[in-house]
Amino acid sequence: MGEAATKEYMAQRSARKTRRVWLPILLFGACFAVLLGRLVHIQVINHDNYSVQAENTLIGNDILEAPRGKIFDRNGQPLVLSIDTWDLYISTRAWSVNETAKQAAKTIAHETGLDDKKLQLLVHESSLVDQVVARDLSYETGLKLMDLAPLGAVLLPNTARSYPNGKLALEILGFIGTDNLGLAGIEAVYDSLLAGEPGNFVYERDSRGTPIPFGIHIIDEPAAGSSIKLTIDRRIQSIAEKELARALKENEGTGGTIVIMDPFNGEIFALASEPELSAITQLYEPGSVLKVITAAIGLDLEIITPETTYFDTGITYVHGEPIQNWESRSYGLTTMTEVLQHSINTGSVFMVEQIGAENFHKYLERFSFNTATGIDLPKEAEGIVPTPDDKNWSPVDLATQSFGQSISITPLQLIRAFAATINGGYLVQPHILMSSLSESGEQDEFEKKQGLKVISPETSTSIREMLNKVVNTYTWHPARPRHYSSGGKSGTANIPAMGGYSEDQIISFMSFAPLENPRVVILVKIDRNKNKLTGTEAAGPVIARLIDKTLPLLNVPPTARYVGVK
Amino acid sequence: MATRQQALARFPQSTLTLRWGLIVSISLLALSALIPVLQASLITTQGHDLQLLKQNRTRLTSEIRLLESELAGLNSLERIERRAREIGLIDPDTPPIFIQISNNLTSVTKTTEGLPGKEISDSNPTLWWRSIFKEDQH
Repeated sequence: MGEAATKEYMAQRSARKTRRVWLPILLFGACFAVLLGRLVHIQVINHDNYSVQAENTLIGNDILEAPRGKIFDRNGQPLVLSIDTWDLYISTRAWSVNETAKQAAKTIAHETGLDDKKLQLLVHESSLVDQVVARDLSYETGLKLMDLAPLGAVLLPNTARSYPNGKLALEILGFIGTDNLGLAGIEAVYDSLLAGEPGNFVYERDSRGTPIPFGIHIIDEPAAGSSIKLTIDRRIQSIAEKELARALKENEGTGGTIVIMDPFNGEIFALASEPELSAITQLYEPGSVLKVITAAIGLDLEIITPETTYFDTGITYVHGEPIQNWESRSYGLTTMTEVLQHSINTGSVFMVEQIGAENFHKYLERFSFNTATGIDLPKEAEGIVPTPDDKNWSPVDLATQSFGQSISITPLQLIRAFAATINGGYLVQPHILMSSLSESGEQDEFEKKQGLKVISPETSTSIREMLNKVVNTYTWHPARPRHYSSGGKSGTANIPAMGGYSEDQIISFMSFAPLENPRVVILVKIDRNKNKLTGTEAAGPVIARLIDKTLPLLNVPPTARYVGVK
Repeated sequence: MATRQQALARFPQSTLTLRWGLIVSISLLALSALIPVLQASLITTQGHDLQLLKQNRTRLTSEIRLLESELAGLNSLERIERRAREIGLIDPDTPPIFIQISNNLTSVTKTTEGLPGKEISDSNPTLWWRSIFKEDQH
């Protein structure tokens, strides 16, 4: 081998040696680049995500529910209060060791009444960091658990609603969901007032997920919700609910309604219905009670007077269709007052024929039968009032509407219209809210508006006297109260069925008292009473009892001429 | 020569001054280092106390709410009616009595005419300690 060859060999060897050095450098460099890339991915690109994960592991945070506002009745008696409760969460990490979980679950089960095995299963199957296992634990139970401090248990403050009067007025009050939002009734309608502003808090945990003592920090203090005062009187509400239950039982009714309202300002003293809130959601044909409205329209148009007479033969024909009185009775020469006293259908038809369709519907619109009353309760229905412009209109409809058929309205629409006929002629706004009081002491009263004038005060006076004569007969009347003067009208209507009317009926009685200065209007309605009694027979006695029981509670003295009369 | 002797005589005193200065300086340094520690400790203690007080306040507020609820439960119509039945009260058959007071009342005494007369006492009310003296006189 020559010198030149040796040099070439050495050069090749040196080059190979250099490549051998670069290879591991490249390898390690690549590994380092991957690691660096991953580091950038974690620390820079996904920084927020991992930061949140780390916080979730070591710091728990939650909403601190604000205590909801209290709900009072019109006399300041509490109907709904807020009490503090606890929600129990379990750290799933802390319960990853079976023995620890078993012991803690037993402690929790002993205090809360939960099943310890189900508890363990729930936590083990959970994919959350903290699994809620119980909501609204009582305050005392929470304190006991805090003292016992079972491993992994986190107690977070919450609030729950307390109902000191049990089920009283529950359909009006409504309820809230697990998220403390109002879902029904007043709780839903005035949720923005009652809810308040929730706060925020954080709690620290150790590496095992166990909360660190004194590790709870409130970030934002919650602001309690405003309290509200309702127009409901709990005593009258209780009477109404009991009377409704009794009426349904005695008459074997499937449902019913009692509404007690101030005729001058629309304040609802009591509202009881079965099914719930059917007083505002259920449409029905009111029957003869509507004769009061027909008479009021006739009087207001000065077409009739209470003394106007017509001759009743017990039957009348409208476009060839016969319309008969109740039990086909005939009364001969009859005044308009007697039409109401005996609830004569042909008399009502006589009135509406004098009034005319156009006038009649103009007034029905004024009485707002085709619109909702706007009461501060959810899901209120609107009435259905067919008019001559409707496709299926028949001239007979006008005649039947005059005595409360071929027209569908809610009990609340009816009582509002009835109130207008006896309060001087003003259509009031039925409402439940009286005032609200914020935590800072600001008080807001319900804005009372002057109601729309639908009939004249003179007409209203006449209607009051005519209705008084309905109840104040020479013979005993079931709807006549023992201690107060009053007036009222019954209604008995068959329920519409396919192409006609079924045998089932809805009976009602509507009344006001006292005569001179009405303080209440009351509607009692019973659905599908199996005993087939009329409105006067079945709902009348309920009305009489309600007036005698309610008015003393409103500080209305008995009518002087009735004192001592039995 | 005398100046040198004088200087020598002063030397031990100056060493002393230097030592004291060193001690004071170290002490001051130590103290100034302790101040933040003490501050931190004080703040921590106060923070802890504050948190305890807050917890107490929350606990008391919760207890007040519970008591309110309990009181409202005791004042419920259902309980009042049950209690009334227990003590033998029944629904009245007669309406409640309403007393209407007219505006032309002549005097307050007129409304109390039917009531038993008041015991007439001395115009000067007897003080309690006078009886002691009266007894003493016997």
